[in-house]
Formats: sequence, C-alpha cells, structure tokens
Amino acid sequence: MTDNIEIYNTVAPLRNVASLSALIERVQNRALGLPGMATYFGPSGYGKSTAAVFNTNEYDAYQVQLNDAWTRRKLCVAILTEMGIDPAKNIPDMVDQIAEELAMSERPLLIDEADYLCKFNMIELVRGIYEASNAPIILIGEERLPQKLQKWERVHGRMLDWVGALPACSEDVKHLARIYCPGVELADDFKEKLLREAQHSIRRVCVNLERTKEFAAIEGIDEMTVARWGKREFFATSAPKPRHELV
Amino acid sequence: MKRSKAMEHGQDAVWTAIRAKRTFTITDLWGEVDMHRKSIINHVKRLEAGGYVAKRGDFDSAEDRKDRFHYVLIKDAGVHVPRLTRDGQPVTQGAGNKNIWRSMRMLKEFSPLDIQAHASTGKVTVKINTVKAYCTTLTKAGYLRVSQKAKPPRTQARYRIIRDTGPYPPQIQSTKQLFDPNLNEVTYRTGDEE
Repeated sequence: MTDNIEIYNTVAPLRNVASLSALIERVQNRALGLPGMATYFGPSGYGKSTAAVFNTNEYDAYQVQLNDAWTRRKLCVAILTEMGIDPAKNIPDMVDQIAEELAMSERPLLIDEADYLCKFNMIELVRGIYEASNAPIILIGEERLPQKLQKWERVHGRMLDWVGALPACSEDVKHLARIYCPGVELADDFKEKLLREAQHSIRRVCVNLERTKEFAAIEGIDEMTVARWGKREFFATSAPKPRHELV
Repeated sequence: MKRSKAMEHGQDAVWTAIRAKRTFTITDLWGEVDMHRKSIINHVKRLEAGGYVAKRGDFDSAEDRKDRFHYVLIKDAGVHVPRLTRDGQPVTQGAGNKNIWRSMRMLKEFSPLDIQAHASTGKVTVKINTVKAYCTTLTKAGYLRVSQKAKPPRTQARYRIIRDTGPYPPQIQSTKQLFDPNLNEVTYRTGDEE
C-alpha cells in the first residue's frame, strides 16, 4: 500500500463522524452557565457506532456501552473500570469517584446505547454525575431517545443540544470506497445504486464495498459500473424473498 | 474487581503520592514511593515543565539543603499520570496502541482495515502493518479469534475479541512477550504455541 492511499484510511471525514465531533466540541467549549449534556440519536446502521469509536479515540473520552441487563451498580462499576479506578462499595461513593475523575481529567464521557438508561432510573444517576462534575456527557441512542428522555424534565433541561445522525450520502460512499475498495474506480451510477441498495446505512455500504472489491479482483477489473455488476444482489436488510418452489 | 496494578508502576506511584499530598517536597515523595531520588526529581521536573506542579519558596533555613523547595500541585489531571517529555510536552508514543485496543474493544468484530480507519485520528496515525502485527500476536495469546480467514489478496481476515481484560492495551515487549497491564502479568511468550 502506498503512502498516498494510507492518508485516506480514517473515518474522520464521514459526515456523522464529523457531526458527533462538532457536538462534542460544542459541549466542551460551551459558555459558562450553559448545560453540558447532549444527545446524539439516529436509527441503527447510520454509523453512530463508527462515530462513537472514532470520537472516543479523538477526544480520549471515557466510553461505556449499555445493554439490557445493566443496573445502576453495573453502570457505575463499568465506568470506573474504564477509568482504571477501584470501585467503592456503594453507589453514592462510586458516583463521587466518577465525578471527581471526570472533573479532574476534563475528558468527556460517551454513553452508547443510552436508551437503556431509562430503566431503573439510571438516567437520574447520570444526571447526578453531571451535576457533580460539570463534565461533558454525551448520550448516544436510537431515533426515539429524545422522546423517551422527555419524561425526565430535569434531564431534558441539562441538554445543550440534540443532534440526529444523517443517512449516508454519496460523499460518504466516495470516501469509504478509498478505504474499502482501493484501486477500483466506481462509476457514478454504481455509487448511486450501491447507496440506494444499502438504504443509506454506513454499515451496509462498507459490506457492499468489500464485496465490490472482491468481485473486481476476481474479474480482474479496475472500474465498476452497474452494467458490469449485473443482477448480482447487494447486501441489504430485507429478508430473503420466499422461495416459490417451496410455497 | 482490583484496581489496575499498572497504578503501582513508577510514574503512577509518584503521581498518586503527589495527588494525595497536594503540597510536598522531594523527600516527602521519596518516603512514599520505592524509587531513586533522582528518578523522582526527574518526574517532578517534567510535571513542572508541563504546568502541573509549581515550585514554591526557597527555604535557605531548611535543615536539609536538598529540601529548599517545596512543590504545589496546581493542575490535577485525575487518576492518570500525564505522560510528558522532558520539556513538558505530552508523549504521543503509545497513543496508537491505545486507540487500536480501544477500537477493538468497541467494534468487537473487525478487520485490520476497520481498526486502522477508526484508530487514526487528528493526532495519531496508525499504520496497517502495526494493526496486522498486533492482531496476530493477540490471536496467538488468545485475546482474538479469527472469524473469517484471509484469502489474500482478495479478502482480509476478520477478528472477534474474545478476551477483553480491561482498558489498558496489552503491550508487545521487546523480549517477545505480551504483557497485560490490566492483569499485571505476562500472558504470552513466543514459543508458547504448540
């Protein structure tokens, strides 16, 4: 791989990665007195996780990803484990430990799959961490997350901004092609078709670009058009069509 | 869950002692951590150059000439010791590995190309060969499993993380062994495999 190809191997220019970066910076550099929490939301597949991974690296953030089974205690222990701090015995002390580290290190906290915070009042615990530390806390979740959070008025009032992830655009495809499909020229009509078939999901765009690269390597071609691709299927979410011979 | 043993290493021990005392002399620290006086002075000087501690006072009357100065912590950066060069600039070495390991833990299933694209940021550039070498070692040490074999040159290997020991990246040491700071132990030596 030559050096000028290596330059492109970062997801930084993708538009959702950039919009989450902008949000984190806005929260970090907010004017005195403005709230320091924010929500980043969007449907699955729009590249929220890609944005979260990149920005955790970019801002040296602390990051946790919730799941359905988490409780208040688990949330505290998980954050402290990421910080490399030995968790205290009870939840109030753990909240103090987390808040102290966030306030001192000035590193933001990213909470992925934040929809699960609505259980066990974990969202109030996160608000408590925010109140005690005043550190930037970004919640990342599904499309309906802002609606769900509306139930907690006090949390709602702590949000500096709500930013929605956007569907992948043709610039994103062009950029991802440089990473995942190097050396193959993609015709404009092919890019449009790929984007449509992938239903504007970053994840599916990546999978399809890798397939394109494989196909091009097998065929020994360095330019891909819709005509060349033919009737081959793209990787998509729709369930497979029923097999008529069986029904 | 135990506090990471990484905290007990030299620089971390000095930093922990400084944070606990807030105001201190070199002798104070020397009593707290098991290190040579010169190394302690070296660490404190770096922190001073970086604006984390400040020298105060010149106590000519101090009994011990060595402790003419005391230092005050003026910028507390939390539990993690700021890694600084001699002139107080942040050390970027090691940031690549940190990003690579963090991306692996977050993505869970990935190709080396995915890792490179997520771990290369504005400040840190990660080379694809570094990622590949790291994947190979981590696989041998049982941290990763190959989920799709490479079929060069068309398809690259994909990996899945199966042993996530914690936030600190396991380090490939020059003696050809893998040291895991999360467990504070060597988890793999070359030649360990059958």
